[in-house]
Amino acid sequence: MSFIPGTNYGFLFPYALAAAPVLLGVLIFAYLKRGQGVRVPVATLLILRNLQRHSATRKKFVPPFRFFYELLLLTLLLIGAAGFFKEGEHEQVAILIDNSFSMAARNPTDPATTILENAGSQATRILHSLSGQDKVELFTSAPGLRSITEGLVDPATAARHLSDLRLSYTGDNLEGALARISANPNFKRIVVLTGRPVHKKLGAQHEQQNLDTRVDLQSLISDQMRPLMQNAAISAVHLLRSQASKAGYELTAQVEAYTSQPLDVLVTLEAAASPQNPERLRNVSEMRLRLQAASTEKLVFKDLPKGLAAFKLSLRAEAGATKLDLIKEDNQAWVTPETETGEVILIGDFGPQALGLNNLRALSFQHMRATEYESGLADNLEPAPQMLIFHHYLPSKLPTHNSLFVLPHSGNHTIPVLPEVQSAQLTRWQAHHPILSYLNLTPLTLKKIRPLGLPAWGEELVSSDAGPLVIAGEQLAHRYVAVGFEIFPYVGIRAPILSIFTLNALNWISGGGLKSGYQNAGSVIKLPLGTVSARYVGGSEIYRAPTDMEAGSRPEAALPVNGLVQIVQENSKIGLIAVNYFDAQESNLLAAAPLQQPASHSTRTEDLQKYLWTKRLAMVALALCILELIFLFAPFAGRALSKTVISKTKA
Amino acid sequence: MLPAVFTPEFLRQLELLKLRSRRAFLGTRQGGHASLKRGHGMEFSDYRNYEPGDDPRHIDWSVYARSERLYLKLFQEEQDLSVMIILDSSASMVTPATDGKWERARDIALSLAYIALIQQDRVSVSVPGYLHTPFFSGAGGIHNLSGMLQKLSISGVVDFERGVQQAISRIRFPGVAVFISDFLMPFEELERLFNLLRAKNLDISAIQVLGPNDLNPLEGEEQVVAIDSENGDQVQLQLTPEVREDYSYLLQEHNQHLCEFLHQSRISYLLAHSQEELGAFVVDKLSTMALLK
Repeated sequence: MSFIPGTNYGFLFPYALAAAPVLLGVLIFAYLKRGQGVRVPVATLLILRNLQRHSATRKKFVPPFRFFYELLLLTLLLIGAAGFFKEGEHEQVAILIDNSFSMAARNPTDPATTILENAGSQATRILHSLSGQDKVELFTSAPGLRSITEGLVDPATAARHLSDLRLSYTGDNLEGALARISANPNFKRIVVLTGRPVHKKLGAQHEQQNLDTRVDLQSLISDQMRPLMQNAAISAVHLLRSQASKAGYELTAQVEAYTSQPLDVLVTLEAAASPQNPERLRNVSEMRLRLQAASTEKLVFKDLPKGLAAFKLSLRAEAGATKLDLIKEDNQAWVTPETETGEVILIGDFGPQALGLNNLRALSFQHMRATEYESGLADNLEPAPQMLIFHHYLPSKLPTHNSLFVLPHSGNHTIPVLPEVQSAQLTRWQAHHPILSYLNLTPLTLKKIRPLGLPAWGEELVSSDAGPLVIAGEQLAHRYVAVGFEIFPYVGIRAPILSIFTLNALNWISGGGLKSGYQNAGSVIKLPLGTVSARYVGGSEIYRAPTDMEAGSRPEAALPVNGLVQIVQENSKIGLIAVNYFDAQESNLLAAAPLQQPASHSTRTEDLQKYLWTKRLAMVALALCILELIFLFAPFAGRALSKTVISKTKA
Repeated sequence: MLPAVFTPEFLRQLELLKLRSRRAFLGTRQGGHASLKRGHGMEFSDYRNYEPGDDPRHIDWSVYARSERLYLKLFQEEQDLSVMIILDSSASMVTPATDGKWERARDIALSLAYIALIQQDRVSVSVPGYLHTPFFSGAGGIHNLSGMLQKLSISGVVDFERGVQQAISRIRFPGVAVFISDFLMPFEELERLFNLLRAKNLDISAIQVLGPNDLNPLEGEEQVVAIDSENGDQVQLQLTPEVREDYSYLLQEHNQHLCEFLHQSRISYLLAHSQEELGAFVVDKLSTMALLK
């Protein structure tokens, strides 16, 4: 893209103008060629040659009117092809700031500031360097592309919006965000501020690889600083029922050292005694560790007593080693025991062991036969069951609990079940649904299949040529999943597709019950029915029930950061939800993947459509073409020759 | 086989015509033309003194009676005539083919050859670069001649001057030479060609054949690149009415120049249009030349 100096006009493909002299030459040549007329063999040129000799202006090119007409036409087409456009009054600049979790890292040369704050400062400097007439739009990339300024604003206003910059406990999503921004041709300059290393292609490589030259990638961490970006983090926290003692818990966790040198840390396990007063923590255990460079240390805290409301595991680098742990936010993890949820009831002919469900240690199962369920046994359980799994059995009416129906038999209208088939070809599935996330169903082979009809509450997740195979939906705050093929026994890694599918389904139905007592930061969770308010302990409120809350609907709340959330329900019942975030890609600052210069936007036609001048020029050229066809489409008369000079002898 | 235009009626008309030369030439045998040779002819030529050995039957006794001297009566012998017909074989004679210049030149040559052969003359046709026929005699020779000429396919460039030299080198007895061409060539070249013939002491006639495109070139075209059929030269032209007028004038000027030269060289000249009727041309126009009577 190039601008004509001193104007707001420019060319999208200025190099196309280089063809102008060639085209002019071709046009003149065509006229000279056409002007010669038809080639006719004659007996002899003895006399005809004398006629030519008498023509005084033979060698001059005297273009006719049509030449100028066609020159105009050609010029318009060339300008159009060069992508002539009129830019707005002001330059439009996009600033994309990486606000992913890794940006929480402290600057090793200035520990008082984070990389995200440095990004804000850099953005401020860029904004100050712009003209007051320019327009700027500020974006953040995580968790998805979001405009902070919500449109184009002047640089001063944009600078004020920088205070809205927030860290996101997610991955950076930079490539996707950048692709979306660069699809907009109105941005003359796109500045990306990130902590990741950047790969810039300069000079001729831009042209060769068709890279988007508008994009200016700026890494806030220089190559010299990169080796200093070291960190330690807690990951993979699980609170499980103790295998040795049914009365207690077992907490496992990993401590990751993303460092290039050994690091001494102090690991502390604390517990909150009651959900009413979670701020008051008591020390449960403490240990000092020496983490080797780039190592993982597994921790196990056994025989933790029951009755505690929450556990907090924290990590602290020993004095003098704080520069080896630049992200503080991943140094703590919370976990809550599942005291509030009941067991999972398995209804069918086979018990949990036969179906391999004992391998799922995050859940506890109770077996119940169909006749027992029909007698109403499940409704009287206290506490209420976390979910029901119906195996080869379909109740006569939809349960009032979260339920999973596996290969239901036909016979009633709770869920329509079609006749059994031996094989079916999967035709499509909704990959974005949580139940199918991380799954590629293409290699899945199914043997025994009962296609399902679509109930009113259900959404078809997996389709086959025989009918729907997986249906999921919600009704009256309960989640239901029906599967038209056998998913059990659960054999873990030996049947990875079915195992991941089973875990996803159970997790979705239970609202995250497989997480061993915590939720992921950055997710949206369903709060219990009757929730009045939810707030981070020692932090901000994330939910307060509206006055016009619809009865029966489950409230939702976003969990933006790590921490412990206290939930207050209508009956003064108080619960706790632990929220953690761990992503090795974000915490491992040493191995941050480089950001590549994106390719130029491929659909240039979209760009052209935005530049009205190009369209106008094309329309004018078309109109001129039509006019020429109508009015000038006559045998070419050629250029006029000057009157032949008659030889003196004639005179 | 003669061309289709040689109908029996046209052949009868040709048989009534006689080829003549403006001068007497030595022939090879007895014929219908006055010869330079003195002998047993019908026409008295001269007297000379008797010498022993002369045939006493040619002594004019009446003169001896008056002068008592023996004189011998001399008569001009009538012999046949050598007729050389030279046909222009340059590409201009066949360009454009629709003009029919070559065909007209060939038919005129065959007409003259037929007239000559009927009166027992010897006829040879030369097409420089392509063909030099032997001398035919007798009426039957016309078919051989016609066959040879009709088989010819004229195209390309020939060394015309060299061809003419080859043709005249074959002449042992001077006679009549008829040069049939469009004469659209540089005047210097024409002079050289005619001087070659003149050097052979021939009675020369020139017949110029022009086609419609020679008279009014490229009718219907205005902007053209004219390509010379002989050397491939190209000329870009705008054929406006004024230019066409100029052309006519220049052609006329060329022909006038030619005529003046031919007249000074005692060469008879006739212009033929390729599109006019052959019979009318031969019978009416050709007979006006010194060539026919």
